[in-house]
Amino acid sequence: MLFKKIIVLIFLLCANLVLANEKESTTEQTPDSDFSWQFMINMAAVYDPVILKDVELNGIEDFVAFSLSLDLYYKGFYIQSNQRRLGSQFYSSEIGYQLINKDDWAIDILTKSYLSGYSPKYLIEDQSKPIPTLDGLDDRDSGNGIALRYSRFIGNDLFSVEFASLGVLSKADGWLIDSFYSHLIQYRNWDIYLGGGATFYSSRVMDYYLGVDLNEANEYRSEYQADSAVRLQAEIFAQHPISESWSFSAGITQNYYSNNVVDSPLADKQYITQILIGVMYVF
Amino acid sequence: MYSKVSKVLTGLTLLLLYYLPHSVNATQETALSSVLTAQPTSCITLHQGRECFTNITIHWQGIDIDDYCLYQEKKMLRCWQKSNHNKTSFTFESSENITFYLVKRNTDVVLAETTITVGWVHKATPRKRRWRLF
Repeated sequence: MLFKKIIVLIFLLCANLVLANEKESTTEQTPDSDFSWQFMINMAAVYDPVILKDVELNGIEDFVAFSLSLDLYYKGFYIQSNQRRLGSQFYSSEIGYQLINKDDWAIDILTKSYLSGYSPKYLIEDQSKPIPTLDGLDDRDSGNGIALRYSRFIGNDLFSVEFASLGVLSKADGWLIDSFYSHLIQYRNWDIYLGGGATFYSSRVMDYYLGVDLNEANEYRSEYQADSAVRLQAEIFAQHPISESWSFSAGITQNYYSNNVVDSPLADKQYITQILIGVMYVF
Repeated sequence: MYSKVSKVLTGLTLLLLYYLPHSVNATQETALSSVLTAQPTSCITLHQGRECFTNITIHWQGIDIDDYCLYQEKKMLRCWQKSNHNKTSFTFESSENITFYLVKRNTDVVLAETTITVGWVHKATPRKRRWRLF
């Protein structure tokens, strides 16, 4: 309850910042007044395993990703797809507003999906062998959240930290702090991004995704209450133009989850490697 | 019969006479023009405004044997003595279109020109990009 009050206070504060920023923009001609958009089709071969126990990638559809994405910007409001992430459209997009946008730092308020949900029923159907630990488990919805993000830009470096509440827009009633650092190396026509991140998930978030309620417990999965957890990430990503409409992308991300993640009867992977090789068509 | 064949031949002759001078002229124009070509003719970068890099080869052909120079806009890149054709390769590096000129040495006469265009995949946006893969 106290947490929700804090969230409401934060958004009241944000509302004031929005008004302040609008006043400022009437006196300053910044690039924020511009309108821009871009529509893209992404096609990629991906290797994107999940931490859930005994869930393996097996069908061709598990290794191919196809998505449409839109980047739109108007006076501080934006929809931005993460162009490197070729998952489902919503999961890869964020909708936000730039509360403060300076040359070297910014504060945004935004909404996006931080965690993908899962349906045990459909996961089991895709597998070649039964998964008793998931059988009969309730669906977990995607972790959509509202967040405040502080970004710091220094040359080709970007550091950002997001404080997100998942309680308002999703059933995962909790919060997380997501930080990420990225360094861009421009070599001829290549963009090479070196990145690293740390994400802290509150116990409520972890319990929603990896906890087992009493009514879900059976002989294969005992009742389990998950504690807060941390994910560390390191990634390298490269992009190169092919033509004015096409570009090539390739990247690899290494994830490490804290030890207690695999204490859950639902999870059995602490290290996850994700790989992507694809092309993007830009309209 | 003879009359019919005669009419056909006359028609063909007139047709040839009509087209012959034009084709001769066209050939002469080609032969008498200086030529400057670049390969490739464009350079594509990821983002509008970014420097674009590509290795290009420029071929040129002059009308007669003389001294020729290749210019990038107003900057002289290279000259050749007593030649009527040659080529040069170098790394193109620019965020904008650049035109190259073939000029006879010690004159301001532009004999031929070619332009390398710079294109991009993503147009410039006022919003700074988020860089993250997964």
